[in-house]
Amino acid sequence: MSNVLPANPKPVPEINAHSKPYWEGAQRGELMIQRCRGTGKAFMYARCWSPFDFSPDPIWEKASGLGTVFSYTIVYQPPYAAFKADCPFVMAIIQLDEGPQMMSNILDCDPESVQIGMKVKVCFETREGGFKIPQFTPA
Amino acid sequence: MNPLAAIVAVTEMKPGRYPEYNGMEMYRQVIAQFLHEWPELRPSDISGLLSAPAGMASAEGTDVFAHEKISEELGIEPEFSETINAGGGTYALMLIRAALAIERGLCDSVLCLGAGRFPNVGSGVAEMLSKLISHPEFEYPYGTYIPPIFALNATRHMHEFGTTREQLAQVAVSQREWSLLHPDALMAPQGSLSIAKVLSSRPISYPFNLLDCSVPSEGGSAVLVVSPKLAKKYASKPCYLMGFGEKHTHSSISQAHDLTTLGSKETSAKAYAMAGVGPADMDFAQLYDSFSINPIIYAEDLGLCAKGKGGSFFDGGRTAPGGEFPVNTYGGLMSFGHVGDASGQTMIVEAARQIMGIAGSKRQLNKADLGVVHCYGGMMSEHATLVLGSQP
Repeated sequence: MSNVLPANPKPVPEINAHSKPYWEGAQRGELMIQRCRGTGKAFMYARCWSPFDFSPDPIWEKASGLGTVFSYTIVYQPPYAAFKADCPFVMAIIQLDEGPQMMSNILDCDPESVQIGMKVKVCFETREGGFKIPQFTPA
Repeated sequence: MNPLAAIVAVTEMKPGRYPEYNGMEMYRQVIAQFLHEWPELRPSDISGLLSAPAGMASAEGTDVFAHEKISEELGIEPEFSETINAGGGTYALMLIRAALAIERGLCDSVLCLGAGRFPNVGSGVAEMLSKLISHPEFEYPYGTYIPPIFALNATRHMHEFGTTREQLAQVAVSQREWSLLHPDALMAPQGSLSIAKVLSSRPISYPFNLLDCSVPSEGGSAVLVVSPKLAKKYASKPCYLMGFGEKHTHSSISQAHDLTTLGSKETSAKAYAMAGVGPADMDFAQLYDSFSINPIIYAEDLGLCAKGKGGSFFDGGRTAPGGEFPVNTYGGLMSFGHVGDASGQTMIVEAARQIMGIAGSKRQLNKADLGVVHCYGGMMSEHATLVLGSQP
């Protein structure tokens, strides 16, 4: 092929009406979680109701941004071109100090140094168009 | 307990690449092979039909009307029919729904069909597939795709129970031995594996190397389920459905409550209780194996060994031909071939063949009176366990 296409930019999410506060928070540099009005328990991902008791209109609040690695993997084969330059990179499930779990990469560290139980803190990665997504680094 | 339904005829295409066939043509090939293998069947023998979507995750798009098109071509007007999808769990759920429909008298027989293709990673559908198999808004931006998602289960299992990469590799090694006994297994021509070979294959996503992963291919299969009353009309040795369990735990892997004890614990307990048997009564197990970690977790959840002992359950070829307890007697999806969205019926076909005594002289088990099958769909999200037996 004579025309080598540039790598696709890493994806930005398609934002939905109910999840806007999460992504608006991320643009401000804040990790937002929701809390059930009935049980007081925090949860992810964004919902219009509580998955614990169906109470409506869960409360948005800023999370501490602190968490622990619940599990991880080091990705050697990229899923598609946009992640090729990042390989090997870490994909991890983070358990937030508030309780909920979320997917993340773990940035700014040697992938081999990541361990389950490692303390991490939120940071924000700037993607295409200046859009920020929550990420984690070693605390 | 009384059987719920009986499998009386099965077939499966040889896994491979079939670029000349679109989604519906794959179904036609499966059906042609099925009718060739069971030449006594007539349209009047089929009063129900379940299919999976045709052409799923492919550029041509997904056809959710597959069931009506297939029925028309077969020349049948079913009294019970739909296209259903629960990923790899689809076909165990078809069997469950077929049994319930037959028990309620909606129909006498149900033909369960699957035909699948497996999109190449990096072929342009990778982004679409990532959004399909992980949360499109909250997981997809992190580069999710299938191997790393299952690797999260594996790393956590290693952390909690000390499971080793050698034990993961042993799953692949034992299954390769079984595949050498299957005439259609995709990886059989490659010969035996060793733990060292698995550990030195290309890294994909820690702790998985290439040979810890199933082999993407294409194919399809058919299973004819009939009322237990009719079973002997079709087969001298039918395969009876004695018990089942179904559970759907999550969609996004990051939202799973547990990565090492899955819905399979609950589904197997339900299935054994319904059948009035326990794991110690089983002669074999067929455990859905996209990756080497899966059979380890399922062996534990299905009570074939204690929780955390799944790694040692596979040690030293215990589940390989000639071992103490046969697992994945066709080679598993890792060595037989993972036929995309039809893969969830492969282990049902093999279990039925073993119980019906038609698995061929090379791999037919001496004793295959009771077997357990575990299928899952999604990212170990949708679980179904089947207990199958030779005695009504």
